[in-house]
Amino acid sequence: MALSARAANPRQRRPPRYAIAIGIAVALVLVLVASSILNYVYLDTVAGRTSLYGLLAVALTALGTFIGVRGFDRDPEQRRKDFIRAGVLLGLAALLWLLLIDVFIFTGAAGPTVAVICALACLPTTAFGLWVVRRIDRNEKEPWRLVLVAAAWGAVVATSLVIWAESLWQLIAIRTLVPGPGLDVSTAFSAGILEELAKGSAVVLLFLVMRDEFDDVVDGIVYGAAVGLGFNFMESVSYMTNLYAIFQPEGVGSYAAGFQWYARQVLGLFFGHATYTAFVGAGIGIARQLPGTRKKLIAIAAGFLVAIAAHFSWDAWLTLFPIEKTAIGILEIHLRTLIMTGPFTAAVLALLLLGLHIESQALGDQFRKEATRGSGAIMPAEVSILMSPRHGGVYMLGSDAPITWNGATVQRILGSSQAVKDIGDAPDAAYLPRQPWPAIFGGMRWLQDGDVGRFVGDVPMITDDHPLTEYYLLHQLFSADGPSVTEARLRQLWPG
Amino acid sequence: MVAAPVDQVRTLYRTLLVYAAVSILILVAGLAEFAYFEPPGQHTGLKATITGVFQYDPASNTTAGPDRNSFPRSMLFAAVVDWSSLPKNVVVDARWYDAFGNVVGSVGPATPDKLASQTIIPVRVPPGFQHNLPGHYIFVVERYEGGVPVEVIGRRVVLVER
Repeated sequence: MALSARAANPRQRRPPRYAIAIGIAVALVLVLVASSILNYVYLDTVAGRTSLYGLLAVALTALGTFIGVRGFDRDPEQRRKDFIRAGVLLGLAALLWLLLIDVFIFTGAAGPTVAVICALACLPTTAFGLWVVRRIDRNEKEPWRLVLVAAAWGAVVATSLVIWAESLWQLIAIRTLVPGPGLDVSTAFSAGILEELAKGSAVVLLFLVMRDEFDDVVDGIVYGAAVGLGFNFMESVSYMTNLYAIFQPEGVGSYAAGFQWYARQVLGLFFGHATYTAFVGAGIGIARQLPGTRKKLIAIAAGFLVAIAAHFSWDAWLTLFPIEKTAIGILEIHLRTLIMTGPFTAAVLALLLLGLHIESQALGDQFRKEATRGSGAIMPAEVSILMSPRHGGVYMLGSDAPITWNGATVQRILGSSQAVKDIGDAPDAAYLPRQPWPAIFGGMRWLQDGDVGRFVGDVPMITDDHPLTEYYLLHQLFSADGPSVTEARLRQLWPG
Repeated sequence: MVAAPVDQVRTLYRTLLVYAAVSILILVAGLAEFAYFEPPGQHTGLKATITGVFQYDPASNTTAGPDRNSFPRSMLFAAVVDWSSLPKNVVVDARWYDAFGNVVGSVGPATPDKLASQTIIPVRVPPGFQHNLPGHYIFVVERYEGGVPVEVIGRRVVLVER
């Protein structure tokens, strides 16, 4: 019986990339454990102790990620439970890491209250950054859960990876190099190489494990920037708390922490780690779209290289732009960021815009082909207005050819494995109706073609040149100040 | 998301390669800067004698107490160097760096003869502050070549406690 059941439902083979992902994850964990123990035993520095005790936070993050990723393949009810568990674990990891930073690095100096205030101050700005980064992917927004996982990896795992490595590098450097520019350059290489490798490993893991949600350069930039924002959050909290502890006895602790907040969470929110790691993501995203292993590897390496160079240049040559301790210094700080990091941010924006343009063109081409080949999904009228089967929304479909519905084609497209998966991944998948789609579409259609013209009257035509069919909504009736569009209000206005 | 045309992806790829080429130039410039300030083959085997790091009294410009590796932030301190242990034809200086990499005390550069009267090199409290900032302070005696410090011939690291 068991054999026949297995034969009827063969278990899907996991793709080889999962093995690579597991290999990388195991290697990262081994490096973390070994280095933390070595740090603790031989260096006995504060950072060494932090990295050892921080392993628990890292383990929680890894477990949370595993449960969250596993949830994608489960039924909606189980998936919801998995996501809640994953969220709790990731939250605990972040909290534990914050406590560790406070307890082991700033014990008796800044105190937990300061650490909490610093973290709370950085939360809204980081959340804003994540919101913006996710929103720029206008054609297909990435799931919030993955964006948050990326940020958590940047905040907890990447920071854990670099603490031990940078401590060791610094320890050796200050005992062997001539202090001054040479040592500064060495430290900049340390930060550029180690931090970008640590953050980049999170993006690589996301790419390997969540390939279905990692389509192209735009997705790569989104995930890379999210990892960078998570890293920036934790780094901001630690710098703010540390500088508060250092300068508070002189009475300027709040000023020092506040300045760090502005520099890292406002001025440097996008002009910093988000930009650097976005390059790693861009490289991986471009690799996703390229044919041939060699080109893929070159693209990934190029992404890392640009990220390292961007980060290095800031750390190494910051002192080339000294800041005066006068009012003009405020202007200089902004100019310095603009001059030093601005070109890199502009470069990553250029990749992003090019990626979005390519996405839009590809989608447009796809729609045109679908409409012209007469396969039936979109056929020759101009507009169709649909009501949500759960009465929760109004949708408008437009085409340069008349629209009719072909039940067989609708069933073929929406019944495909990819479409079933996409629909199942929707946040409200549990509430979607389970009837056959052709019947649902038939019931949703409210007005079409000439009826739409009669309803709106003789008014200018508004066109939408972005392929956002799934998000196309009219928010207000007739004007920005008008009442919200609802099915009931629309039906009241329809004389027919 | 539907697949993009190969030509357009090639444009993305080539753009990234251009960025990577510029990045290589940046990193090479960094290596060149590092090589300029840390030139290879400068090891002479010279050793400056740092007598110790002691509590410092600025009023009398004297040191007191035992050689220490850590100080509370309210305590002033200074390094003492025996310049007579160095050959007369080298150019050297001595500097204190605080945890932020700022120079917070120095003598030289000059020949050891000219520095003979400056054996005590104190750490200066930053202007506007009452105490030293906490962290690891590095004291180095450096040998100069061509107007640039090229070799550390004496080094001490001390901790200023929080």
